[in-house]
Amino acid sequence: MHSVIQAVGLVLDPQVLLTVVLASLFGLFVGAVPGLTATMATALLVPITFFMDPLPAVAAIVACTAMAITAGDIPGCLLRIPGTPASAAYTDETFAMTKRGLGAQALGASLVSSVIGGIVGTVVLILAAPALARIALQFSSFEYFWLALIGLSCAAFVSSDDPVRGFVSLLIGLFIASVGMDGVSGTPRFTLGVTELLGGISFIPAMIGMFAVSEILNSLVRGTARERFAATQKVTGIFRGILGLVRHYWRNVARGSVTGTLIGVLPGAGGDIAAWISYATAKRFSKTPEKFGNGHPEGVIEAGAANNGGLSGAWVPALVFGIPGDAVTAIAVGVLFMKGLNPGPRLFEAQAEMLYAVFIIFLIANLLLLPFGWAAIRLASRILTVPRPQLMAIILLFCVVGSFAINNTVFDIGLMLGFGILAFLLSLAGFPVAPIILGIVLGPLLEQNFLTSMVIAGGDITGFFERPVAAALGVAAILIWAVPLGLAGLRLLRGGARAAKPAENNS
Amino acid sequence: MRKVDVAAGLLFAAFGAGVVVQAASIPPMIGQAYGPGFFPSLVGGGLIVAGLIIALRGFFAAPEAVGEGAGPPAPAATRPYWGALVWLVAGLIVIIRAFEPIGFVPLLGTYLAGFMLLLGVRLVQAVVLGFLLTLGVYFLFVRLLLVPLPAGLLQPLFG
Repeated sequence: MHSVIQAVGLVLDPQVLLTVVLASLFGLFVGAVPGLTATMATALLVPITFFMDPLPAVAAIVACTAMAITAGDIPGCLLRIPGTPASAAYTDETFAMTKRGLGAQALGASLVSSVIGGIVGTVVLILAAPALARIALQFSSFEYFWLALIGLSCAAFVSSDDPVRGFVSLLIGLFIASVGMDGVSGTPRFTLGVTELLGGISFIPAMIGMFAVSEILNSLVRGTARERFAATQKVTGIFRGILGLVRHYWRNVARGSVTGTLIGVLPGAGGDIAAWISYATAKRFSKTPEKFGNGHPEGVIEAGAANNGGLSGAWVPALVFGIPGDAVTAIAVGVLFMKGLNPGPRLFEAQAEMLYAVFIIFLIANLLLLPFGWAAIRLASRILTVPRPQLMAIILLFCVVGSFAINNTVFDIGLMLGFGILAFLLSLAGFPVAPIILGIVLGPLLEQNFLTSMVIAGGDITGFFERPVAAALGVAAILIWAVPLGLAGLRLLRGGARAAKPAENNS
Repeated sequence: MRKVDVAAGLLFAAFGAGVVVQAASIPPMIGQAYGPGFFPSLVGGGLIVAGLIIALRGFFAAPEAVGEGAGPPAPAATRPYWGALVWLVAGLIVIIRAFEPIGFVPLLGTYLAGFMLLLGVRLVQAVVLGFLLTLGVYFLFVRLLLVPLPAGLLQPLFG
């Protein structure tokens, strides 16, 4: 209890509160503009948080992403262009509602369910994280090795429809993590004799390149860089009849919040996937599935709750084990490490008041969503007509200065450019980018815990299964690999005979 | 055959092979079975396997139908902005080379102005906005965050 009071004191610091408000406004804007994602918002924010105290830094990321993911619903609803990938699942539905004159209802429903989903996710975080941390205190390098492996495997299998592509992205991330002096022996690896690479590839410039520069490149090549969005009408009456709607669909709100949070807790799966799954579940369990797709609020409410729940849920493994649940928490974990606040169970003992303060920030950010989200919807027509070339120039400026500012070296600007081009080419060829960032963050964790475990076990692989929790985690990790591989093998055997014929005809 | 997949897959496999070869030359830790070269060689091996799978799948896949997919209505103008693209990349290389001597404000101001100009912003607006933004960010980072952005040519003014 004492730490809770201390935590309130920490949060009431004007610097923290101001940061939350500013980061919220920034997140709302970035989320509402199509093409700018919540991850990009975080990537651009990080160089500035680098110069803040740990609490405002984390607060900024939490507030910014919660706002961005909700504001992403706005252009989806009004223009059929999702503002962030997390809104893509129900963009068609909300747009159909707008065409039927129910735009205000769609936005109001997704906003209110977002707030509820976010709060449920936060409550789960508050209850589950400390309990898990107590268990995690017993963990040794064996358990951490398996946890990191599970996190990486989920990242590869869940983040794209094609696990092989996800796996390649992941391996690229792991390779990037291995550049520089190895953490155990200090041997330089893959540095090509470049001194700047001895300390490894800087995380922030790489991330800015992958999530911001690549988006600019993308809009230039696709020719959307000057595109102006159609002016939209002003949306009024956002909260009219909303309580009745939420009460009517309370099952969807509850189910969306809970499944979203649970999906978020899984390493590698975040709000985007939570929204897709929840929309599908809503349709499946609906009494009127035929109404889906024609402007029906049921799925919007469930998925809207789910993506915000997923956002909070993703912080559970991030804070307890240092294993991020999605790209945003991967960045946040990177920031925490740079701040010397190594995420993990010890954090819950040594810095309990810090953690409670973070939890309070989660609640504040989700409650702030109501007034801020309302204002953003009212101002939507203004935000959507922001001229794109000027906007991209500003982003470019912050990319350059942000990449430079971390280590004060122009080498990092080059890294940013290189990673921007790499991520752009990868996404052109259909490879997901998020597993790369998870690979970069989890790579060292995986390798160091493996090597340490090997030393402890004296080179004996069975050591990885000797402790009960480690054994359970190990079996889980193996199953994650065995099941999809087995299914793919079966499909290959069955499909091989059929696929062979048309191939012969073609040649 | 999907050419992109074949090319990408082969590229990744070749890269993986390079990683394995490089990893083999990393000296092992004395007295340990698994040294600093072990993980990179696993990563490289994984890239070889996954790259080959993607290349093979792409080789046997049916060619992609053109104009497939029922996404949102295609925007009217979809011509790539090659000029702005070249400017973006080449400009960054110049910025990296001349960061110290020329300085942050002259370089980035010109860079942003040119970028906006190539995207159809009017000359006066592009130049004014480019330099105002750059100046604002310069003072924010130098004064508030204490990042040593080089003044360069403008040293006499800012000194």
